[in-house]
Amino acid sequence: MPMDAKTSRICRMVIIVGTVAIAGWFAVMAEAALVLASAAVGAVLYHLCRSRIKEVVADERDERVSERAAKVAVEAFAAASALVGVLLIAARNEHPELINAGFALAFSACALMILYSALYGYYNRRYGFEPCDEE
Amino acid sequence: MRNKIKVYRAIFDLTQEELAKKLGVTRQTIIAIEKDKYNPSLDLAFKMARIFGVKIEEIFEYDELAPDPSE
Repeated sequence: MPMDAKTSRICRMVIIVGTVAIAGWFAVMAEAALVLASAAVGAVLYHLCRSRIKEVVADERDERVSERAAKVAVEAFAAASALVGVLLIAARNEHPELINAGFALAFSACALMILYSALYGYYNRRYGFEPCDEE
Repeated sequence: MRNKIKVYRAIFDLTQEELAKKLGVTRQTIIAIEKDKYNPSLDLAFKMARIFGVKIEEIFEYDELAPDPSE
């Protein structure tokens, strides 16, 4: 059944809220398999709902906006988590309970930058990068 | 980059919505291009030129002094 953009937006919001509520409930019940299952069902419903839209809702400008927002978000998160992570590790004598949070933040910053570098390399090659032959 | 999309829309009696539909983009994109807030891709610029039946440089004019909207 085709939908207009507004109906699809409402439908997707309901799916997101419903999925988060159900997955959250299963997480509280400590049912990891059911959390995964509900997230998968939610993702399928979300994509079904999105594929039914008839009109144009995203174009090259939206893509450019998303690219810029994603880049700034990655940079901000990586810098902030690395800094806070190192500060928490450095403050281990005063607050030993925070050292795990510090390591988690510092490692997430590293993981994010590794993922970013790998994807950068992949898309760089995909969009025509070739090493220059120096003569 | 400056453009004459508004002028050509008036000549062809097209609303922003109608032009957006023909190009397969949102009306927001047409508004942003008309206000020089967004430079379209070459693909989109060529599509526009084809719709209006003119060369691309008759619609878009490169201006070195104009600020790059993506900056």
